[in-house]
Amino acid sequence: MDKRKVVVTAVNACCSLGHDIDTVWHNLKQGNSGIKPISRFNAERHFTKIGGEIDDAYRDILDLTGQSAVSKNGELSLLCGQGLFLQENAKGIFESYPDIGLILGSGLGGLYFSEDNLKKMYETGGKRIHPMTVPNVDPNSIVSALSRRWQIHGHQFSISTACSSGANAIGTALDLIRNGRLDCIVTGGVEYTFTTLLYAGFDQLRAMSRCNDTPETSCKPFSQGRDGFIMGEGAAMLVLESEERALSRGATILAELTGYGVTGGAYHVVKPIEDGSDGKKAMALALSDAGIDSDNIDFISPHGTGTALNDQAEYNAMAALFGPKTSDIPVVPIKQLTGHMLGASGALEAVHTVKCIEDQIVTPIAYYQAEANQKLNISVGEANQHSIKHAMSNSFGFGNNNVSLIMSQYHH
Amino acid sequence: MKITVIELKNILSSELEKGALDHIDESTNLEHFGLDSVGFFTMIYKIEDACNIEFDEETLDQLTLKSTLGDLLSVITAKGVEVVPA
Repeated sequence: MDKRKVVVTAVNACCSLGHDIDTVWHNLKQGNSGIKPISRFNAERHFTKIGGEIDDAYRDILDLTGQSAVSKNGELSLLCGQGLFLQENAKGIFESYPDIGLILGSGLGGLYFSEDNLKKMYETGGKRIHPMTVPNVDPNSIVSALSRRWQIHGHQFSISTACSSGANAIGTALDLIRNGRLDCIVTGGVEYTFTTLLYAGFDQLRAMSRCNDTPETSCKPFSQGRDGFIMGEGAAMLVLESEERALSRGATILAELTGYGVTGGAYHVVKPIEDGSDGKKAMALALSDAGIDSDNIDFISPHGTGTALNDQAEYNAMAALFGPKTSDIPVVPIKQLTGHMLGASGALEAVHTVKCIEDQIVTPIAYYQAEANQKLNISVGEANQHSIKHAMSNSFGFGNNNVSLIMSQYHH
Repeated sequence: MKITVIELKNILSSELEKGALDHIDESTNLEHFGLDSVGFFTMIYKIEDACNIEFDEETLDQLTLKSTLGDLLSVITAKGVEVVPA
C-alpha cells in the first residue's frame, strides 16, 4: 500500500528572535542574533553569562484566562499555538478535524515549576507549595494543558528524548498520519530553559561557550575556535495533514514532510560517537524513507551546537554520507542566532527548513571560519536564493538519540 | 502588606470561568462562577503567595466553595492585607 503523503500547512515559532514566525523569520533572513547577557537571574558566578532568552513581554500578548496553573513551558506552548491558530491556513482545523492530535517534544517538561516550588518548599518548611505542583512537573503536563485549552480529542502525548525531542515528535506525527491513524496533528517542541538549576548544570558540564564579550558570535558551529553551545528557549509548531484532506479543505501547502530516520548510538551519556556513524545511519534512513538519495539533498539544517565534539561527529557523518558534495550543500546552523532550544530545537529547525523551502532561500549566520579540510557551505551575512527541492534537518540528543527529517518542495 | 485590585482580579480570573469577573459581586457564591475544589485550593495558595501571608487551618475551614467574594476579601483584610486600587 502506498504511504499517504503528509504535508505542512502552517508553522509558528517563538524564541529569542521574536514572538511569532514573521518576526523570527525576518531575523533569520537577516542573520540577526538573539543572544544577549542573561537577564532572568544573576549569572555572574557562572562561566557562561549569556543566552537566547525569550523576551518576557510575551506575557502581555498571552491569553491566560482560565489557565489555573501553567508551567513556563506551558506558557510558551500557548503563545506559539495562539499565533499558529490565528493564521489563515490553520483557522478552521478544529472544525475540519474533530480528532486532531497534539504531539510535542520537550526535554525538560515542567522543570522550572519543580525548581520554583522546591525553593518555596525549603523556604516555608515544606508547607506552602503550589497545589498543582504534581500535575505540572511531568513532561506531559504541557500537552495535557494545551489539549484542554484547544479541545484536542485525538492522540495527545509528549516525547522526551533530550535535544531530539521536537524532531522525534514531528517524525512520530508523520508516521501516525501516513498510517491513517489521524488526518491532522499539531506537532513541534517547547522548552523553557533558563532555570538556575539547568543553567548551572550545563555550566558545570563545561558545555557552553565562554565568549561572553561577543554574544552574537559566541556559538560558532563547525568553526575554528568553537568552545560550546549557547542556551536558547522557545517553542515551534507545525500543522501536519494528510495531503488529500489538506487539499479538500483548500489549505495552502507549504512543504511536504517526506522522511524520518532514527538511530540510537548506545555509546555515552553525553558524548557522540566520534566517527558519526550513528548520525550518518539516521540520515540514511531518513533519505530511504523519503525515497531519495544523498545526491538529492539541496539544503541541510544541522544539529550544529558549536561544541567541539558534536560538530566534529556531525561533520564526519555528513562527509561519510555526502562525500565530496559535503562542501557544496548549503548548511545553516541557526543555533548560533537563536541559542540551543534543547527539546524544541529540532522543531524550530524544521520550521526554519520549511520556510527556506517555501521562499527558496538559504539564510545566513553571523560568523563562520572553516576548520582546516572541513569546509562547509555556510553563508555569513546575506541570504541567498537557492533551489531547494529536498532538505534535511538533523537533531542529535544526549544519550546518542539521532533523528533526521526530510522536508521537500510540494508538488501536487 | 498590600495587594492591588488587578493582582486579585488576575488570580480570580485564572481560576474562575471565562467572563466571570464581568458579573461577579461580593455576595455571590464563588462556585457559581466555575470554581471547583482544586481551583479553590489553588486560588488560596496564589493569594497567600501574592500577599506573603498564611491562612491558619481554622480560617481555611471556614472558607468553602459556598464562600462569597466578600467572605474572601474579609479574611484577606483580617490578615492585615490592604486591597489597593493599583
